[in-house]
Amino acid sequence: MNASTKTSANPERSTDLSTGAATSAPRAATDLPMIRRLVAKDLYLYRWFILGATLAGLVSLYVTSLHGVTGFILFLTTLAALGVFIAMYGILVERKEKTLLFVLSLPVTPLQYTAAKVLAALIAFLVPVLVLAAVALGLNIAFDPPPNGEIPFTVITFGLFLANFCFLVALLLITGMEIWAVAGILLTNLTIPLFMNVVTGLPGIGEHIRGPVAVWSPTVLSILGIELFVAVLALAVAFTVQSRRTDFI
Amino acid sequence: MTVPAIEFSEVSKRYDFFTLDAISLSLERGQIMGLVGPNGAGKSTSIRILMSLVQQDAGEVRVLGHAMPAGQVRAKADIGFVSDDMRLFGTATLGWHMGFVKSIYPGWDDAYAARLLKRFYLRPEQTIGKLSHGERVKAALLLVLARRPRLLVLDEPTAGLDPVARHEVLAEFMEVLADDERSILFSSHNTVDVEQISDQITFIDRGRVVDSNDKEVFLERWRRLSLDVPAGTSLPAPAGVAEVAREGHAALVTANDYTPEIDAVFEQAGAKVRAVQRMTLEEIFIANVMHDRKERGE
Repeated sequence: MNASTKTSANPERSTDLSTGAATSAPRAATDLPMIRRLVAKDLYLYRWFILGATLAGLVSLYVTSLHGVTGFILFLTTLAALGVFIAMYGILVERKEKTLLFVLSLPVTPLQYTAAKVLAALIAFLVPVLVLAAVALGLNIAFDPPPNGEIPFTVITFGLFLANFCFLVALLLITGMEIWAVAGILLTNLTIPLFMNVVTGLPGIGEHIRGPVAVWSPTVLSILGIELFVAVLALAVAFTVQSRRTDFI
Repeated sequence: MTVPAIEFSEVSKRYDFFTLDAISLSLERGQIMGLVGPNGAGKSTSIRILMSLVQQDAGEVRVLGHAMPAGQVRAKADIGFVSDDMRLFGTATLGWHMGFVKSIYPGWDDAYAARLLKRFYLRPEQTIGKLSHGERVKAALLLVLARRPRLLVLDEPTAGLDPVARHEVLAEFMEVLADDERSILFSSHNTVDVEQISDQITFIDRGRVVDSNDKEVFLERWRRLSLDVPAGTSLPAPAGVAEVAREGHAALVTANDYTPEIDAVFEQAGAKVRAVQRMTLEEIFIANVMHDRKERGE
């Protein structure tokens, strides 16, 4: 009988050990309590990254309010470092240090593992980002007039970091290799100066950054759409590859 | 009707430089099978297929009645798996791991976990990263034993352990075996450990099952005969003999299905049977593997 990838697509037919009677199992992919436990496990292991990034972000926002560009660069560095740490520690180190073997020996499918991994990574990344965004908005109110023109640019900058993060997570889930991690980090880091130079010069963005009003121009919305599309596409590719994979160790 | 704990039927897996070749084996409930083979024989690949960490290219695998990999969630809920290259989270404590595993398995036994902590001389507040290799293995064993799984799958669990730690770990397995419903698949290249706890032995080499039988059957069937052979005497090769190694006037015969008639055949040929000795499992394993390789012309 041929098995391999074909068997994983078949509905399960099991036999009860005591009776020998065949039973049907529910689809494993819907085991939400198990996914929740794996997410909680990852968040516990990420806790110092989350806390550290939030504190570093708060410091960089404070420096931004005093020295402008220097603080902003520090802020961007914090976001980039958070993404890299979570992806590297959560996915690559788990594979390299063989803790993946422990996790996959639990009653979980590789697809559930992937779902939990992505969900935990997104939460670990977005929690500090959202906290810092809320603090940044709060700081804006302290200015008179508030520099609200920066808001759309800041949002698409967050969008870039989210897209980069999802790309890196997907790349490491698919390859699980250090060399690809280095390549991914280099590539995503290159997008930051490129983004700053190109996007600030685009009509519908550059002229509003220093203004008092947040202008959500079609350019801003298009860039945001592209960033979200890239993020979703990267994760979708990772799920597709994982669902077709036959070897997980 | 009872279903075997493990059933492998013609299971194959092909890699660039290694092929697991149509492996078939069966482990009944309440039995302990020692999977013995040299490094690279296919023990870990077989176990990884059993755990659905790797999917077979062909063949059928059923674990505790569940077809794998489709039924892996249900099967793994009743499997305790420990491998020598499995690691726990280095930055977390043993207590955190115990809480995590307990949250997943409703059968977690707090009292047994406490007893294992004491027996293995571990403390919940210890950080995994600071444990020695032996302590890490014992911590991993504690996490699987305390949930009282119906099937224990152990891939080289005693590798790298000092003699005392090995003794503690094997003693714990013996206690687990007191429960007739539990089954154990124990992979090792250490035949002493396997001989100590297994009911059944499966020898595996170069991706193939060489032989599989009850331990007692192996120990009963295999014998080593020392012969004195006068010059000019040619030795026959009766049925049940795996190998005849002759040097001058002496010959060493390895029988894989020994009966006293084999002695008579050699005596009739002019040789004198000096001694018939039982073989250790390690000797049986080596002789078995070498005989199989010779049979296949490898």
